Order: sequence, then structure tokens, then C-alpha cells
Amino acid sequence: MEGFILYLLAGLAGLIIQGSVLKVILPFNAVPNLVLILVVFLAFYRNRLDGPFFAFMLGLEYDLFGSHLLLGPNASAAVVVYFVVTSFSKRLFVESSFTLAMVVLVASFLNHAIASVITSQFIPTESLWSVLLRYSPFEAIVSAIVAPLVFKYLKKFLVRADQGRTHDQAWSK
Amino acid sequence: MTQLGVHNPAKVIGYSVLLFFLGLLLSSYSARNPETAQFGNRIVSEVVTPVQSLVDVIDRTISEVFADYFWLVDVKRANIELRARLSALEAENSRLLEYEGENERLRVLMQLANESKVEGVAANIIGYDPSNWVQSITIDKGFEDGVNRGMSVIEGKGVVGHVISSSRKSARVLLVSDHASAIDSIIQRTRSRGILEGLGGRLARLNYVLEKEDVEIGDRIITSGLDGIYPKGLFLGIVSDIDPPARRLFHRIEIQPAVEFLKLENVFVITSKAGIKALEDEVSVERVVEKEKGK
Repeated sequence: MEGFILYLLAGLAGLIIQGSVLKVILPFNAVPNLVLILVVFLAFYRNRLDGPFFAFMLGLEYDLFGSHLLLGPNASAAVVVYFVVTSFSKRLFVESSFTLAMVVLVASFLNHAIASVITSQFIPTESLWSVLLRYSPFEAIVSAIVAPLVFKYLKKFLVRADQGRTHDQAWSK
Repeated sequence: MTQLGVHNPAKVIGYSVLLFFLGLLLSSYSARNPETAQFGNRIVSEVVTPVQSLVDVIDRTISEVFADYFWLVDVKRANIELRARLSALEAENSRLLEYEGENERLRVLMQLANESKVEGVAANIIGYDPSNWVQSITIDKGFEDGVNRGMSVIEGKGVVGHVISSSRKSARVLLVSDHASAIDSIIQRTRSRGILEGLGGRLARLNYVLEKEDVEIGDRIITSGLDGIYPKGLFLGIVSDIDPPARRLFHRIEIQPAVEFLKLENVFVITSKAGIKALEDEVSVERVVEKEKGK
């Protein structure tokens, strides 16, 4: 439960930083998707049964926080991203910044594609795809660039907190 | 690589598929019942607005500090002796300039309110949508200040967007440039009608204007007032590009919106129907005057 709240709070912090700080500071609307990076992190470092649920909740948080007219597209997309990345996680050397950046790049495109396909089924707008083609590469590249740095901090806080709790639980037993 | 738990592929696949379909189900439900998404948005807004306001204050303070710092560097280069005195003055000056700018923007907004008897509230922008492909802003006024869903939001120069959800102390505004935004519009010179749709970023497109209609680059686009959200006659933007005729039914017209969305700091929310009527009356008078001038 604590782990769940920790990830939700990290997601919320990411969304506030994205929407209130980075959007003001960075030019051309080129803002990294910190929640997506968190989902990729989850796929690498929380390879448990509750992983898909955590990813789903992070995606839902994104849907709730944004002014999206639908609830669910990003939640579904986050689950798929989690599943795909976690399937390859054991074969990838995530300590390499380049590999990590590439994984986040691909994950970002995948996330956009799935969320857009779902959105377009329920809210058909002509310009959705042109908007997506214009912004998706920007977001994917920026997310890939910042991912190694974000991973470093997430490892410091989330994994340490997780390990600390596992350690405490083992001792209490 | 750190692996924290035991991997069970079959169960992970099962859970993932289940959650994926749950997401689809939720999308379908919220598409049919938009109030579900708005209710969720409202709850998150209640939690997040104080933090966003705090971040906004910190952001403004840091900007001021940075401005002060750069002023100091300039003064140091110019004259060491005067540095101490100048730094204080420059810091003060920079802060006053910021206040002056803000004052000017608010005066434009309030003047608009006074001149057209429009009732509304001025609001500050405290956040943007976290994603890059949804164009929306969060303002620091909610239903406690009379800001409700469907109200139009303007800035001195033109239309910003409309309120799509409102919580106690904040509201979300869908910008004109968003792909989900569609506004019934008129080309001011020819009175031809079309639908203005956002293209994201700094552009929009005017759809459904018949190719036989006369359109020129530089033509002004205004709201028609027929969509029930925006008052008639508000400035939306100017025609920036037209595709050459190609025996199509409709023109392909690109619009440069009147408002620079990334530079927005304050907006004005029209809160009353009376205000909308007042604006429409004003536009009607303007049209009569224009016609008289034409004669």
C-alpha cells in the first residue's frame, strides 16, 4: 500500500512539474512525459504482479490531471507500455543511458499511438493525427533525453524506499 | 539490474489484458457520460490547485530574482563604484516594471469589462496541460468566483478558449488551438461562415468555407455567436495561408490565432449572459457604423 501511494505521489509530482514548471520554462512546448518515464521505471524495477495495476493507476492519474475529455486512454496505454517494457526488461542493460533513452523513445511513441487510437474511437476529430505527428516526436525525444537523469533520482528515492520496506518487513517477520 | 520481485509471466499477462480492457471500458463510459471525467478532474483539481498556486508564486519569484541578478551583472560591468546603489534601484525597477506590465494587462481586461458592460472575472494562469498535444490551461478562479463550465474566456486581443471544468478555486480552459476545439466563425469582410478548429501549438484551421467564397490572406476571423458558447464578434485570428484552388468543395484555410497562448498570464472569463448580450449589441452597432462608412 505504501509503495502504491509512493508511486501515485511521484506521478502527481511529475504531472505538476510538467504542467506548471516545465511548460513555462521549456521552449516549443517540448515537455518530457515524466509519468511515462515512471511507467518505464516501474517496468524495470517493480517486476511484480501489482506492476500492471500501478501502471494503470499512473495512466489514470494522467487522464484525470490533464483536461482530457476521456478517462482511460492513457491508463490502457500505460498498461501496454508496462507490459512491453517488462517483457524485454531482463534482456536490456538499463544501466546504460543510451539503452534507457532508446527504450523511453520507443515507449513514448507506443504510448502516444495507443492513447490516440483509443481517443479517436470515442472523440473523432480531424486534426488529432496531425497534432499527434507534430508533437509526438518532440515529446519522445525530450523524454528520452531526460530519462537517465530521472531514473537516477527515482532509483535513489523509490527503489531505496521499496527495499527499505522489504527489509523492515523481513525483520518484523 | 535490480529486480525486486518474482516474475510470473502468465499472471502479469492476465492482469495486463484485464486492465487494458478496463481502460477501454472506462473510456467508453466517460465518452457517454462526460460528467464522470469532469468529476474526476474536479477532485484532482481540489488537491492540486494549492500546490499549483504555490509553484506559480515560486516560479514568479524566481523569475524576479533572475531578472534582478542579470541587472546586477550589467551594473557591475558598467561601474564598480555605483554597483551597490544601482543594484537596489535596478531590482526595484525590475519589480516595478513587472507590476506595470501586469497592471497594463489587467487594465486592458478591466477596460474591456467596463466598456462593454460585460460581467466577468479576471484570472491568473497557474498551470498548463502536462501533455504536449492537449492545449489547455488552469486558471485560479473556480465556481466560488462564478466561473462555470461553458463560459468563454478572452484576453484583451481576442478569444482564448472556454471553460471545460470548474472546481472550487480553479478551472480548466480548453484553448482555441486544441484539436478538440471547434468554434462557429465568420470571415469579417465577406461574412462567410466556417468552423475554426485547433491544430495545436500556434495554428488553427478554418473548415467548411465553400471554395466559391472570397477569402484573402489577412482577413479577420470573428466568432459568429451561433455555437452558444462565444459571444458574437470576438476576434479569433487572421487568415495566414490559403491552399490554391483545386476543385475541392471547401477552402483549406490556415489561421493565426489572435492570442499568443504561450505568453498568456491573465485572462478574463465572461460570467454572465447579460455580458454576452452586451458584447453582441456592441458588435451590431459596429457593423451599422461600418456599413454607413461604406456608403
